[in-house]
Amino acid sequence: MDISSKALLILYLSTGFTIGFGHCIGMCGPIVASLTLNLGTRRILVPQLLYHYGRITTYSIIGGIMGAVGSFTIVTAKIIIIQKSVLIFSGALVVVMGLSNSGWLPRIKILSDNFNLTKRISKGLAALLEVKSNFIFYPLGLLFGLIPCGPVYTALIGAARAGMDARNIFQGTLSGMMLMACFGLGTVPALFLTAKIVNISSLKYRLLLYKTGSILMIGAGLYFIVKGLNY
Amino acid sequence: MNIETVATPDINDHLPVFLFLFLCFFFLDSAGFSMAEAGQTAQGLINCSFDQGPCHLKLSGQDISFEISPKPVKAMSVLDFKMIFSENLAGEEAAFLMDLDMPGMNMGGNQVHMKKISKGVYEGRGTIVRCLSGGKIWRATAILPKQGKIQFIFEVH
Repeated sequence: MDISSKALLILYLSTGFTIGFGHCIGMCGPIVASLTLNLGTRRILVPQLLYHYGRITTYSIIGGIMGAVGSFTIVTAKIIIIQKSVLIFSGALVVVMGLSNSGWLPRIKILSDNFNLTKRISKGLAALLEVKSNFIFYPLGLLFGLIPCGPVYTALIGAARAGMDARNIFQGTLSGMMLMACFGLGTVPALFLTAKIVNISSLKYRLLLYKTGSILMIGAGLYFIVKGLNY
Repeated sequence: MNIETVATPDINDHLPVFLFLFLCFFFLDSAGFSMAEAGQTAQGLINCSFDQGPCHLKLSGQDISFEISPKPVKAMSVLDFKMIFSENLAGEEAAFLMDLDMPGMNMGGNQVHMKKISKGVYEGRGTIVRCLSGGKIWRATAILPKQGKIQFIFEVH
């Protein structure tokens, strides 16, 4: 790898870092916070690392595809429906988590058949919320990495350009993957800090913070759903 | 002698609360209210309407014409950018960079490479990304090496 490529990777890493604090905390922070609150008293390090690893994996795959194809618009046109669906689903999940964590609607009521949800959906959500294994955070990260995001799009434009400048498809794919992996890695500190702050150890205020956080989660989830429907 | 001990407040109990409240504010500010504010502010700064034709601004007394095609200008599509200087304002520069960003929202660096096609005429190709916030006000900043910067603010469909 030549110097200019290394410089580009460092640029993407630093861009991800600044974007993380300038954009990701506000837009994706609610998801991270929601997942953290759902952990309860469990330790957050491994789940968060798995979640971000999943997110970076998704970014890298899409970046590789962009680099191979050499076109941002062609690839995004193909995946827009998937992204829209993921956005709506993630919003719904965050709302359910918010309602569940707040205790205003106990889980059993949300996820029972009395709410006219299909058995498959209610059982699926119940299974998701009851999972004790940390590994579930990796596929969640894979999925939420598909959420439409302006700065991620901007980074993908660069990945596509790297593909256009590459000598062959393999080099283009690799360049796209590495650029997006660096970008995703750069966003981790901001979101990890978000999770850390949410994961407050003070028992004195835990209930109050859960309520406040739940309000934010529900609002953010509804926001994602509305945006997904209009995307 | 009975000595009463008074429990002193532990800042570690309160610090997480303030951090959490700060984070809540950050959520609202980054994801909601700042967007609304940026939208209102940027709406007032719009100086281009490509639906009505090329945009004309002046820099150092020189006319600059800026156009984006195809129309209507849409996000997430390939766009052609064309800038025409009434005189050879950009000097002998073979190219210059043009930043594409959204006022009030950090979207990362998106630059278009504007190449000289003929005397005073520069063209480039790029894409304006879509923001989840739904914001449609974008800004193109031409970075001229000797003359400085000029900004075109417009609405994207």
